[in-house]
Amino acid sequence: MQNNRTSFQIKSLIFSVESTNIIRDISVDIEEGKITSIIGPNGSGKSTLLQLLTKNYKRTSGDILIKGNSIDKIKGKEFAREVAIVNQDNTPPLDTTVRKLVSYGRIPYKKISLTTMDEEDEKVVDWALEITGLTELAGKDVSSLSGGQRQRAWIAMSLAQKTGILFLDEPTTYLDIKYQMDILNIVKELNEIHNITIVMVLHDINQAIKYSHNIIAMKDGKIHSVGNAKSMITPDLVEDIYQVKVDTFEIDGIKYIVSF
Amino acid sequence: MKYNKKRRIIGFFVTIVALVFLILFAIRTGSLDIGIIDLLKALFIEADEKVGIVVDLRLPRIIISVVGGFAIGVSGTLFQSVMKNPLADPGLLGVSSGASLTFILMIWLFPGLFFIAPLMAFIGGLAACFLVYSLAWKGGLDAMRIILVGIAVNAVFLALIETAQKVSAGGRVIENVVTGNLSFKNWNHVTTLVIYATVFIIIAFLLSSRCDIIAMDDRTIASLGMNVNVLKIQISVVAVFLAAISTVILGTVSFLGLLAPWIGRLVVGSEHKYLIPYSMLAGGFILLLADTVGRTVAYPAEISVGVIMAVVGGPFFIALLKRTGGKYAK
Repeated sequence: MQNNRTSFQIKSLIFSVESTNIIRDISVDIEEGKITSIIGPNGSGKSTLLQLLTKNYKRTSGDILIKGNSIDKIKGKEFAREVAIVNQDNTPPLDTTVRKLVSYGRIPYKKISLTTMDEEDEKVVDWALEITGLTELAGKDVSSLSGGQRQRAWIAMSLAQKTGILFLDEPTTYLDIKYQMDILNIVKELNEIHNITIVMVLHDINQAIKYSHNIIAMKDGKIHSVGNAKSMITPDLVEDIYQVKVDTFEIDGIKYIVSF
Repeated sequence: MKYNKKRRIIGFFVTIVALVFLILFAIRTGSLDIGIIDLLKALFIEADEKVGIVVDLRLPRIIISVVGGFAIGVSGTLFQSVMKNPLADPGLLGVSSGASLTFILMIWLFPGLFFIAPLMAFIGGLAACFLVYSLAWKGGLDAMRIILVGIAVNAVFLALIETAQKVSAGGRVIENVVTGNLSFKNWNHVTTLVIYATVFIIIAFLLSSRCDIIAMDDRTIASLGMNVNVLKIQISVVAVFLAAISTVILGTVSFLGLLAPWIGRLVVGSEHKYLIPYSMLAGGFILLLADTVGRTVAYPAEISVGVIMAVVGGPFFIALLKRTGGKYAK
């Protein structure tokens, strides 16, 4: 079942805390070079799944493979050169410039002196700053930035890791609509121009439809359905997952949902 | 940027000058008044009896105050970085009293092993640190819980120290360890402290970028491929050693590890390559000031430096707790 287009393979994944199953037997493949969004109600296990995939939580049973190798076999910094994650609610360190924060993304390539930067590192940092539109703000303190700028700084740090896959946990939550668009457009550019595989948890179903290729819909720690983002979301599916009735409307042939 | 280069340079310059003047003032103040020129003359040209007393008695305690203050200032900064909390202090966390209890038990029960006592104090400090961490562990290390457990463990250790002191019929050495008394210090103490403190302060400087990194969320550090626990242990070990060695020589001094980095953050900001050296200077300055005040304010009686620090530091801790409680309480 493994093929070259698979980035992550998740097999019978179970995660429990104090004998309560949070993730209950999930098996799914994540397609390489695509944007995959995970949607589902609060407490459905979306963020937990992301934390399991990035080795932040230790699974109870099952297996997670990257290109056929179990993630257990890929250690620390080597894993951080393959997989990057932008978490939710990041605490900005005090008295740290944007450039310094982004340069931390090079740590996976360092051994003892973690913050000594060579020419190659500087180039990567410049590149990450440019993509996220932070070149002008590089000398500013991270804690002085707005929410949207700060989120871009965290994304830039992950980009400096130069990974093939990037996870984002609710990257648009707490941001106003302009910054939400900013972030999602950066994500799209990363995927289309830089060929980075994206997996993100999103709250907004319409954003998931618009910005992703595939959607994984979760409910009660299980996968409810997986499919093509442009066609899988129906009023029945939304009602089944969220227990709300919704209508649809169409833009450019794609159905979005609306609820009142 | 709030903390620009100019502000940092001025901060360091003023503090170094103030420290030098305080050292000179401390040398000439006391039961024997001598001039600095007399001192230099006696040290380098010809011996002088009056100056000899100062060199034998007063100079060691001044050097010990300054270097001990350096060590405690750096230790406090490292603890605060690991705990991600400005209320951490080796005295309050029970590390100093753990070190001091071990040290006392060593010299009481095995007086022949005096030469490895600093090492034993270090192990005692580590054990205390481990005890506090493990008692505070609840699916992770929450800084507020560590501090509360630390205060409780510290109280128990202090009681045990007092018991040991009473049972062993109160040797002079033990009393000095407990209250932080700087009288009767000689050049052997100076050598021990200076060698150990220098080595570990240099290691602390080398850890400064790691201290910056640890200010990020644990999961973010982990996502960069680093082992967060290993990082915390590395920094903690250096912090414990600095606290232990200063406790062995100086006795338990509370609140200094709190005060020095707090001033440091105000003056040079939170970047550790500036904060660690600045907190070091501030720690040395404060401790020497406390000792000098202690031996002159009620002359001929002496107030120990531990007592002075507690009197000044206690209210300061409460003020800091009130200011930051909302921000750091979970």
